[in-house]
Amino acid sequence: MMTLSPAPRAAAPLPGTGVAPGAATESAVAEVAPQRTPEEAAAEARLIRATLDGDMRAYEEIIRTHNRRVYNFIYQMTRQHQDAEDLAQQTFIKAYHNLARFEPHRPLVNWLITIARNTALNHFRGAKKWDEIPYDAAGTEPSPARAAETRDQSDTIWDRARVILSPREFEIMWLRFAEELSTEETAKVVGLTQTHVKVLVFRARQALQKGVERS
Amino acid sequence: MNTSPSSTRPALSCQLARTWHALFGGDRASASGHIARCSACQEHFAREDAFSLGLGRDARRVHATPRAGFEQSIFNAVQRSARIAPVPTVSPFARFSFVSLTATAACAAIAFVALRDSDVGPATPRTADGDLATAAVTALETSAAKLFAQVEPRADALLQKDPVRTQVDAFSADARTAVRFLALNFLPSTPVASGTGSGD
Repeated sequence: MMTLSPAPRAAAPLPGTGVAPGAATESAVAEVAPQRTPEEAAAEARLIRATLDGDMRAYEEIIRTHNRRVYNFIYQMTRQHQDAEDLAQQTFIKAYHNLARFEPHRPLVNWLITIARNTALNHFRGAKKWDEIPYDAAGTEPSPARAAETRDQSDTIWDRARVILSPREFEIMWLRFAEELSTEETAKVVGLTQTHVKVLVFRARQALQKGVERS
Repeated sequence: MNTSPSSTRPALSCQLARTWHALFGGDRASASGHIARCSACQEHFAREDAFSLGLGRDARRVHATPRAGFEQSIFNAVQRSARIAPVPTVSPFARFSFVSLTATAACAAIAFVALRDSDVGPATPRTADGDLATAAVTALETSAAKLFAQVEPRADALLQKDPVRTQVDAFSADARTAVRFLALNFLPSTPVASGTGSGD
């Protein structure tokens, strides 16, 4: 039976992992690790204030700092370079005109990713290239054809994730483990509760790990 | 009890511990009573950590980079957009203050009443104090309403849809009460022949 008790004494790490069993590592992506240091947060706040005061060079610095990450996020969701460029550009334009509404306690890049996500969804909703798939209870077992495709094409875990997971699960996993957003920030970006995000991560990781181990 | 998770379904206690951690997060030590004893769970969490590290590492491998000049093209687009619509820094609602509007209305009403009183010649018979005060309050309410509507007609229309209207109404009521008090106590009056009048 599971019981609550003080932390166990330090044990030798498992072979090949460097991770001590039961260690309080949370996960490789620390749940509470800050995305930015206090100095970075202060510098970011200065740039935002300067932009709101009319200094375009400050916003140019913001663009220079975050454009690749925003572009990459959109590209990972759409797999289209041209679309990613256009949507990233729209993202920064929207962010510029709504900068006064930004909540300064959040990292700016998370807000940019939120705008990028919403911009991309609105763009593709008409083209049906990236449909918002509602959370459902569908099984996570890949079909034999999909499993074969996985074996043939997959080079990285993310290539396999794109095949195995639904678009929503892929997005959640990308935000958590590639963008390294916390559960709270991920929930804010996608507009779900933290519990919902945790459930999606739990199921997606199980499905992905099983798919990777199988191949 | 604890078997290899890759070949058989994990024990119920293992499933509980792993699900607990996944959904409620926190220190794995909170389920340490089980984890400390269960080698299968220890291996599971170790594999989970390694998998998470692998996800991060592979994310860097598939990271897409934009073309050269992309950054400048974004900035040019933002500049073009900024020329059309500069960044708004002040909320439209900050252009008028409810308190200042109400105070302005009250001052205007007092001035109106004072001027009206000064226009009355000595030969004109005055009404009783109460009648004059009533007339002053009526004039205040009329002029305040007119002033409020004239100063910011859009504001009134906006306020009708805005829950803050109740606060504005409260300010207005307070101002009316204050002016009524002033009118009753400080307006000049003359003795009345009948000695009757309705105060307010």
